[in-house]
Amino acid sequence: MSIALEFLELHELDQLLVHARDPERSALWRRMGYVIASPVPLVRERERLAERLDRRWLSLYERSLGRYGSGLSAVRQRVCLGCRLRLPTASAPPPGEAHLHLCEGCGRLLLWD
Amino acid sequence: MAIAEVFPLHDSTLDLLELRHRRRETALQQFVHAAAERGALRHADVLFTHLVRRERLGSTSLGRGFALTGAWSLCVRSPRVMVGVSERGLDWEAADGQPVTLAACVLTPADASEDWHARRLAAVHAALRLQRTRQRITDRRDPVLLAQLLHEATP
Repeated sequence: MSIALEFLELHELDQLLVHARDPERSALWRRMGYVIASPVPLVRERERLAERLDRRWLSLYERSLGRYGSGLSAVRQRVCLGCRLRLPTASAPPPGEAHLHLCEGCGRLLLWD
Repeated sequence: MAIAEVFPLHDSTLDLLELRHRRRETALQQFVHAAAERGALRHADVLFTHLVRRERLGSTSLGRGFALTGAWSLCVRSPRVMVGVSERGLDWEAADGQPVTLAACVLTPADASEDWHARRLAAVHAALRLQRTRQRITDRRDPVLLAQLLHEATP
């Protein structure tokens, strides 16, 4: 799995944890009839996942996660969907390659389509 | 398990498949596979892992043989709602212990608002919450009926 996909997996897991910890969101789930279990097993899984990742990128990811609630943003037509900044053409990775980049506007890690 | 697909909620384009497996993970895999086949996903494996992890936060079975799962995810390219029907029932670790005979999966791209995903989830929940409604779908396997029910519940 490429480093970009590993961060995507971490992002998806973090979004689940954000939901589980947010009283408003978890109340919505409960109203629909879901039983919400303790997030502790997922927190442990996150720790294991984070251990495998490059520390420098992880630190940048977590900085944005703390600031915006998400450390990764998708790019569509060269626009960062986190802050809507249009990215320079040169910043796009070659087709078929999954490199990590930071958004120059918001500092999130970018997931190119 | 038969899977009917509705894109978007009020579209009547449907697809029915049979699945003989009984495990929840296999059903989730089938949902992901069906969505990926139609080009609605990127990184299907990551989405599958996400759906499995969602189950670890508590089963998405809502009891009486009904499960409703989904994801608001960067892995989703286009919104999709899939409904699967199982002949024998799936072991979904439901609180009431009943096997799931009808499961729905709501996929929303992270480009859309989280609120929209919540409303789509609520719409599918509203459309399928009654057991007699689900029984009609299970008995008739009628994509048109399913589309009609979801259309009526579309926010």
